[in-house]
Order: sequence, then C-alpha cells, then structure tokens
Amino acid sequence: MLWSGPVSEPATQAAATPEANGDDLCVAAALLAGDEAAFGALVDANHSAMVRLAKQYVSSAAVAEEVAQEAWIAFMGNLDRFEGRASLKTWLFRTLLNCARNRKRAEVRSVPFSALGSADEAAEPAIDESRFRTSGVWAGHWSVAPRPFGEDGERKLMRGELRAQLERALEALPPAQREVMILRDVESFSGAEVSELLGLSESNQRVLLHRARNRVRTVLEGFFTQEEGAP
Amino acid sequence: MSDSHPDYPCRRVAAVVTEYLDEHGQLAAAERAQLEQHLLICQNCADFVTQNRLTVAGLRALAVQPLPAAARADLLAEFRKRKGQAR
Repeated sequence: MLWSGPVSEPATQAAATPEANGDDLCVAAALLAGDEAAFGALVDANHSAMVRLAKQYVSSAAVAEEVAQEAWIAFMGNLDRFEGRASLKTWLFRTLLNCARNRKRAEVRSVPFSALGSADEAAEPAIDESRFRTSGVWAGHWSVAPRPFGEDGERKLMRGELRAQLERALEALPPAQREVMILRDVESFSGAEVSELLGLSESNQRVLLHRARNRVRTVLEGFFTQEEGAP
Repeated sequence: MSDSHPDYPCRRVAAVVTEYLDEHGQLAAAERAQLEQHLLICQNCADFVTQNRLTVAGLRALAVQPLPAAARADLLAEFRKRKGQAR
C-alpha cells in the first residue's frame, strides 16, 4: 500500500462548519510531517467508527475493515489539499464514505439503502398516534404516558452498559435512519455536517434523525418496562 | 390529566423534541418558550424529553469502541512506510 496519491475519488472541501478550527490544520501539518503519535491518535479516535459506518454499505465486516484502511490511504494521499474549511474528522469521514460507496458499486449487490428512505419510511408517523387522546378537551395529550427509564436506566445508559441493546436497535433501523443516527448521535457530527456528508437537505436529515430516535427510544422504553416487570 | 396543559398539546412536544434538543437551536424561540412552559406543568412530557436525552446519551456511549491491535498496527506500519518514502 502506498499513501501517496488518491486511490479513491478525491474528497472535496466542505462549506464552513462550526467544527473547523486551527487545531485541525496543526494536526494535518503534523501528519504530513510524519508525526506517528498524531496519526496514532487519529486512528484511535476514528478507525472503529469508520468500520462501523463502512459496514452500512458493504457485504461483510472484513470488507468494511478493508474499506476503512483504503480510506486512510486516500485520506493521507489527499491531506496536502486540506485547507481547514471543514473539520479534519469531516474530511476523513467524507473520504470513508467515498471509498465505501465505490466499494458498494464494485460489489454489484443491492444494498437496501437510499439516502431518503423508502416511500413507506417517509410516510411513517414518528410516534405511535395511539399514544395520544383523539377527542375531548385533552385531545393531543398523552393517553399512554411515557414510562421514565428510572435512575437505574439512566445509570446504565450513561455508563454504556446497554451497548448490545442499542446496537440491536440501530441494526433494526431502516438504513437511511441508521446512517444519520450513527453520524449524529454516535459520532456527534452536527446536522449541517451530516447533511453535507450524505447529500441530504437539513430538514430531511432532521426527519430521519427524529424517526430513528423515536424508534430507539421506544425499544429502550420496552426494555426498561420489561426489566421492571421481571422478577 | 391535571398535570397537562390544553394550549400546547403533548403531541406537539413529541413532534418537535428532536429540534428542541438540537444544540444549534432549530426550534424558534417563541415555541421553545411555550414548550418549556408546558414541561413545567406536564410530567409526562418532561419524562418524554428525558427519555430522548437519555437515548442520545446511550448512543453517544457507543462511540467508544475497542480498536483491534492488529488493525492499529497495520495502519501505523503503513504510516511509517510512507514516512520512509517521503524522505
């Protein structure tokens, strides 16, 4: 493998984002100067997330790992063109998405993914309408109240003890919702960055995130309710 | 239902909760104020917003993932190789 030269379609600079800053230019300069510690830190912070995202596009975990490695090569090959207009992380993930999409095309397989989701997905209500009263002075108010997750639930979520349940809930999401949720809620990209990375309008990415959060919240509510009822 | 407020329906809280929690303040200031007023008197909606906050917190915790040592070593080896070539 050679770092020099792009191996994928070149990444393009994004519009200005709040995350772009001078530190990123310093990191880029350090990487170009061969600073191994800086590279190691970037790998530690991002590689697993890149593999997770690549898995949304390709057929296996092994291929996703290959795609992430390819993205690092492309990233380093293009780094001398980084101007700090987007954050380094956005630049890196844009490169990853380019590599993953190229690989997806090369695999010539039908991945059930579309940037906007299916018609069914677009029409689905974000929350189960039966949870609200439909008549009387209290129409539009809760008929089935949300069940608090409780102190125990809060502790478990904050400590990352529900990883398996959340991973399963993510896996069960429609692909377009899953991709937005991974970038927004797991990887903490801003709405503007996710819109730019995925080629979505701000309102579309917000709708997808809203639906995804509601689905995952519902799964957690069900989990805690069941746990509460367990002996 | 004495804990709720007929002028701002709970259904509306459910519809805009993502915009409400957005760190860049996507919800218009006037509606944000109305919603926050509602949260003060509606425990159900307060619970619902907390559920949403905790869901996001749980997802944030997924970002911390172990990096396989072999994958890290491979990437660092490539980096060193490039460094050698650049000299």
